[in-house]
Parts: sequence; structure tokens; C-alpha cells
Amino acid sequence: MENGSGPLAVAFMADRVREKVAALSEAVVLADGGDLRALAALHLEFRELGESWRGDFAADIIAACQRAESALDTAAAGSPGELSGAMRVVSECAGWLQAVICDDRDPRELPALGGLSDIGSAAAEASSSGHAWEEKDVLDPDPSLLADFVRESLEHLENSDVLLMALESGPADGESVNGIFRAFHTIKGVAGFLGFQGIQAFAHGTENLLDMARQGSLALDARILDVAFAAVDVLRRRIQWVAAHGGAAAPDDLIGAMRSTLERVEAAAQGKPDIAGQEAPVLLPAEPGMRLGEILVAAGKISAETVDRALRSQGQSGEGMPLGEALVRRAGVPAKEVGLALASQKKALESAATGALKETVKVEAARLDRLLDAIGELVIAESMVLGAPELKRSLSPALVQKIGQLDKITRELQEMGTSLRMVPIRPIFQKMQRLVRDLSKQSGKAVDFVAEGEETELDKTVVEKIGDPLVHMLRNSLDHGIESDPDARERAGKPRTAKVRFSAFQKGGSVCIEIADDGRGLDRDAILAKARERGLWREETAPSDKEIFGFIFEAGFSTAKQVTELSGRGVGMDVVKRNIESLRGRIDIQSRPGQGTTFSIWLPLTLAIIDGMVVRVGKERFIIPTLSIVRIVTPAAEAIHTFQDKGEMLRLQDELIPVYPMRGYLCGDDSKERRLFVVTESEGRKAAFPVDELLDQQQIVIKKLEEEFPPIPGISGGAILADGRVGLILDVDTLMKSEFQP
Amino acid sequence: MSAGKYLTFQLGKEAYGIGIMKVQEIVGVMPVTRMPKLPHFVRGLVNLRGKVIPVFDLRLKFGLERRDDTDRTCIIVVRLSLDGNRVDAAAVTLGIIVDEVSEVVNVPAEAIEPPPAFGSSVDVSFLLGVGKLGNKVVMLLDADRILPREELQSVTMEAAVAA
Repeated sequence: MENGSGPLAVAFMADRVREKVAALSEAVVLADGGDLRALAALHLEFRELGESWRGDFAADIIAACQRAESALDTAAAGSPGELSGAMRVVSECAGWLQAVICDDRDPRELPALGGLSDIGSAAAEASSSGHAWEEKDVLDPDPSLLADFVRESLEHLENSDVLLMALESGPADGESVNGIFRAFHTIKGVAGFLGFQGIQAFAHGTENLLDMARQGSLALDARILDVAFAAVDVLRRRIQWVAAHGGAAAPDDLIGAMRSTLERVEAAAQGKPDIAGQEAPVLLPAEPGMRLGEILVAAGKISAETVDRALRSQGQSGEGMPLGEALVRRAGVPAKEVGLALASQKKALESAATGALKETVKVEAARLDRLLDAIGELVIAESMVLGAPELKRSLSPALVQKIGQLDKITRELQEMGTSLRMVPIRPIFQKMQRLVRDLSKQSGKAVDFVAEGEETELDKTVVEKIGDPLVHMLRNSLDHGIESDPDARERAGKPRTAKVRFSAFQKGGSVCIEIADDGRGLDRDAILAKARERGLWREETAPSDKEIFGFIFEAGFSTAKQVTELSGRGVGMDVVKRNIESLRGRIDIQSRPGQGTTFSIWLPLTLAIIDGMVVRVGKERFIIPTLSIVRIVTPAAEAIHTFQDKGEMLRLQDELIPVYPMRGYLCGDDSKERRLFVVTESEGRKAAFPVDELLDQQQIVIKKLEEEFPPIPGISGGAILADGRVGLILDVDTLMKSEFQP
Repeated sequence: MSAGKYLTFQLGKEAYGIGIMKVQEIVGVMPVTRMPKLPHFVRGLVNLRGKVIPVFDLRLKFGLERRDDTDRTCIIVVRLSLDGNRVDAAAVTLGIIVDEVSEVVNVPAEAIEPPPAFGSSVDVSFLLGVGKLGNKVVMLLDADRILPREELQSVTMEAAVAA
């Protein structure tokens, strides 16, 4: 070990280490072998001690630390029988270390500690004999603990995915490997605590592999990354099983997958212990805005006095020497440490810039909804108070001002309330990135993934429901859109590696998500031919691009010549369209032959609010979503045609639009009076609804009807109107179904 | 077993009681939005502080004659399950319109008689028993059974198919 520090620093370090060792051996005595978190903490302490020791007998001390670490691993992963033995080894090591470091005993006088090999073999034995795949005990942990475990684990795995992808695309970065290691480590600990021995053993195996990568004894090549990806996937499936079935034993195929993946992991760990991989420096803990000296002091590398001394010398020199240089030259701090601290400082600043973790509070969704309800009610109550004639009579300028204030606050509250349900689309994009990676491996097509606007926020429900359609469209893009032959791309003047771009942005009250590929584009002729073959287009004239691209949303429509693993069965785009429409969104396609295809999905910012037209029918008021209204007309009497004096049609320019007299159904009166018609369009069909009066166009907060209440055909929900009464929101789709015809 | 505290109310001359644990609150009658194709005893939807809940006219449900609302007419907001007394049944919030709310009374077990058999002409399935309180007789209702889900569902389904 090289040692570039002055004698004072060494003495200071030694003091600190003595304190640490004393504390450590105390902790070992107190440690409960069953508490995996405590074991993990001890593990870390021993490692740090081994790594930081700069004094005499370095080799012996490092060996003792490693022996303790190894024993702790055995304790964490092994059976209860092995636990006590392993803990005894740990306390032996701690005692030995205390004797050598704190009491300055010569190791040669002390009874020798065993080598690493005996624990190693015990650990190996434990791992081969004792993967407890079938959770032996019937697990009955506290459901809230389980829920926390599932949530945290899934978050960790998601995080690992992101980090793995960063590792795959970028240079080996110690912090990322560390992050993944910690994820598995935490899962292992909690799983052990809850009694999921299979998960524990699995996470332990993966953690070992990652640990090797972390310490640089294993190069993180594509093979190792693949194995790590697989491990993340399998573990996620297992955790999802826990989410759905609690402590019930996992099905055989899942256990089989875990077992085979763990074998891969272990094979990778033993495979080629490629020492060539360089050790990535472990950065020091640093907060953004921390100064260099503070970082070093906080990490225990130097003392505050050293910094002071360096600062003073910095001032004396008068030439503005940077603190780092001053520390190295004047205070004798190792240049390596200063360099590390500088890197940590930079990293902290970077992570602060790229959206450092914001502090968040998890709130039950139902509570949030109640809050939003209350805010909505407040807004209505306010408008009712303001509209009261008594108040109008006694308005003074001071009162007007106060009312203005109240109004401003309620509005602010309302906006804030709506924003509470908004979440960024980032997790979805991360999933897509992962999927692109997997699919491109599967299909052998090189594809780059670009995400833009990950910060864009959408209603939580929308984010939850948009995932599947996006996955489907992405599969389509990769399978049909992108050329399988990179040469063909080159000939077309495009880079050999294809690009898929996901972008999200907000425009007005909508959010747009675009999926763009630079593949071959939609094949107009093939689509049209297929459409003619299926009788979707009978006319001789060629349809517009929009109409042609619309065909791909027809059920069972596929031009694919063969069904591949990815897609091509013709099932899907219709479902995609339906899903998007159920979120009250729409989908547009732009495609240029040879240039690629862009799907644009337009979604409302929030599901809770729609733009609605309030109409009067008879004595009742109804809300028609503005999105489905094409136009509103007052036709001349001769524009209405009847069939058998019953079925009515409205002639609008050259279109005959069926009239749906909802009055009888909705209000129970059969007045034949027709003055105004609201013409709507849904799924390409137009319909005309007679109404008596247009009252207002406003933002409507949708209220779900009681969940247990039977659904009422023709009504999609209720809303509270400006006067506090309930208005019904018409569901144009079901109203058009023939059952409601008179 | 059905002893306990009951909220009593009047429908015309008849006194009824509903288990106090089922009652969420009592509110005055408010403007109701009618809903299509629901049984005649469903008056419609009201806005209960931002929550949209259905309200029922108990008079009409019990086959009594329709009566205009007075200033004593109340909506008893109850939380009950439409699946009867099944423990796992999901709860719904409903409003029940009654002529007037009287008081909360404690009905001891010895004051409760089993529902009388009126023969097939009168449905007593939602009657827990009859409470005798001094010279008064209170019909104790099984709140969860007043409005069976099937009844609501079948009516709306019929409406959907037949219309």
C-alpha cells in the first residue's frame, strides 16, 4: 500500500480506526444473527476497515477483515445451523482485530485465525445444499410488510434496469454497479426477514456476482450484463407473484426459471475471473453544494484543522491556488483522495442538475381523491356564495377585494389538486427503453432508443393504462417498420443502426406522445390492396393517406406475410386504438415511404376533467363531451326525413345522419319538438341528438357513480354543475346502440 | 341479536328503525337529478359534498302512496352492502328519503319480536323484527336487504334489453 500522507495524518487516522474497531467489535457482540440489515452493516464496516488500513500488518489485517466478511455472507445466506458458527468466526475476527489495532499486539503472538478457505468451502456447501426453493414454512407475514416489500423491491428492480442500461451503453461506472448491488442486497435482506428463502438465495447469488463486478474482479462485459438483466427479470416475476399471491409457494415454472437463472449467475461469477477489469473508484458521499474540504472531512479522510491549515496557506500564497492543490502541497493530503473528493463533488452537482431525487410522500390514492372531491366542493360552494343575492346587495370595495383574494386561493387550490394526480411519464419510457433493448437483441436489428420529454406529466390513471398500447406499437415499429437488413438501410442513405424515438410534450389541454421510427414506413399499396381484398374500400378512387393509415386500426388487419414472434397476427392495432379512445384520446399516423413512421397519441391531461357541453332536454340537464361533438345545427323542417313516420334522419349537406331521440329514454316524455341537433361522431359513425337548449360549455369534473351501482346504459357518469346539482354525462356510444331506439 | 341502537323515522303513521351503525348522516332533502331506466323508487342522484350518491324514496319502495316533500322530509345517508349480509360484500353509500326522522332509541333484546307472518302478500324479508317501545311499535329494518342488488340490476338490465 502506498502511503503519501504525513506522519500527523497517519496518527490521526490510526486513532479514528481504533475507535472504529472498538465500536465494531462491540457491534459484533450485540449483533443478532437473524437481523440481515445488521449483518449487512457489519459487512460494510469490515470492508471499509480492510480497505482503509494503512498501518502495520496490513496483509494480516486485510485477511482478517475478509474472513469476517466471508463469514457474514455465510451467516446471511446460510441455514440457522450455520449461522451460529459463522457468527462465532465473525466475533473471533473482531477480537483479533481489536487486539492488533487497539491494543497494539503483535499478530504473531496471537492464536492464528483460520484462512478464508474454510469459510469459503462452508459457504459453497451451504449454497449447493441449501437453496430453499420451496419456502418451507407457511409464510404469514404482516400484509402491510409484504406490500412494502413488494413495492420497494419492484422499485429497486426498476432502478436496476435503468442502471444496467446505463452500464450497457456507457463506460463502467462504479456508482451504477453499486446501485444495482445495493438493490439486490436490500431485497435479499428484507426477503430473508420475511422468510422468502428462495428470493433470498437468488438475490444473494446475484449480489455475489455484482459484488465481484463492483470490486473489479470481474469485467462487466455484455455477457455479465445479460445475466444481470435476466436476474432482474426473473426476480421481478417472483416479486410480482408475491404481490398477487402473498406468501403462497411460487409455481414450478417460476422456481425453475429462478433456479436456471441462478445457475447462469453462478456460472458467470465463476466463469472467467477476468482480473483485467479496472477498479472503479468508490466516490465519497457528497451533497450538491458541499465544498471540497467539507466532503473530505465528512468522509473522514482529513480533519477540519487540516482544511483550515490548507485554507490559511492558500491565503498566504496570494496567487489563488485552488484548495485541492493547497491540500496536496501544503497539508500533505494524498492527491488520490483529493481527486476522489473532486470527482464526488462533480457527481453530486451532476445528479442535482439531472433532477436529484425530490422528497416525496406516498399517499393512498383514495385519500387524494377525497381531497380533490373536497376541493371541487369548495369551488362550487364558493361560487354559490358569490352568486347569492344577499351578498350582491351589500358589496363594498373592501369586500370585493377580500372575495377576490378568496377566489384566487380557491383557484390555486384547484390547480394544485389537479396536479397532485399528475405523474411524469418517465417510468413508461424506461420500460420502453428496456423493451427496445430486448427486442433488438431478439430480432438482431440494431436499434437506438431516444427518449425526449420524460418529465412530461400525465394523470396517474392515463400513465397506468397507456403502457400496453405503447408496448404494442413499439413491437410493431421494430418488427414491421425497421428493416432487418442494415445494408438496405445504408442503401437508402440512413445509418445502419435504426432509431426509435419516444417523445412526450404538452400542448394546450392535451399531452402528445410520439413514437417515431426511421424504418421503411407504412406500405400504402399493400395496405390498400389488403383493404380492397377485405372489402373495406370498394371505390375505384384512391383513398387519402389518412384513410389508408386508418385501415391498420381495423380488427384483424395485417399485411405481414408471416407471423413473427414479435407481431404480425393482425391482433392489436384495433385494441390499441380502442384503449386510447377509452382514455378519451386519439391517434394520428404520419408515414413517409423509406423515411419512417410516426404515431402521435393525443391524450387529455387528466381523466378527471372533460370539456363538456351542457344541454337541456326536457326538464333535465345533460353533459355531452365536447370531444365527440362534430357540430350543432338548427335544421329546416324539410331537412328531417322519416321512415314509416318513426326512424328519423337528418340531412346535412350530402350526409344522412340517423336521429336518436333520447328524450323518451332519458326523460320519459315523448315530445316531438325538434329544434336543435347535436351531431356527434364516434368510431366513424355520426349521430344526431335532438336537444332543447344549449346552456353552457364548461370544464366538467367527472364523478364516478357508486361502484356497486349497476351501470346505466347511455350514461357514463355524473358531474356537479355550477349550481351544485348533479348533471349526467351522456355516453354517445351506447346511446347510439339500437336498443334505445323507440 | 338485533338488540341495539336504532335511528327511528316515520313513513306516514308507521314507525321504522334502522341500525345506527349503518347510518352515516342525515341531510335535508336537496334537488335530485333524475336517472333514466331505474326502478320508480329510485329518485335520482344528489351531490353529497362532492360525492354523487343515489337516493331512494322509501315510501315508493314500500308501496305507500307518493307524497310531496315537506320541510321535515329527510335523506338518511346509509352505508350498506347490496349483497345482503355477506361480510365480503362491498359497501355503497345511498340516501333513503323518509318523511321525518324521530330519534335514536335503544331496543333491548327482550323488546324485539320476530317478524310477523303476513302471508305472501307482504314481503318481510328485510324486517329484522318488531320492537315494542312503550306504547309504540317500531319496524326494525335490515338495512342491507332493503335494496337487494338483484332488484336494481334486473330492472336496469330489463330496461336495456326491452326498450
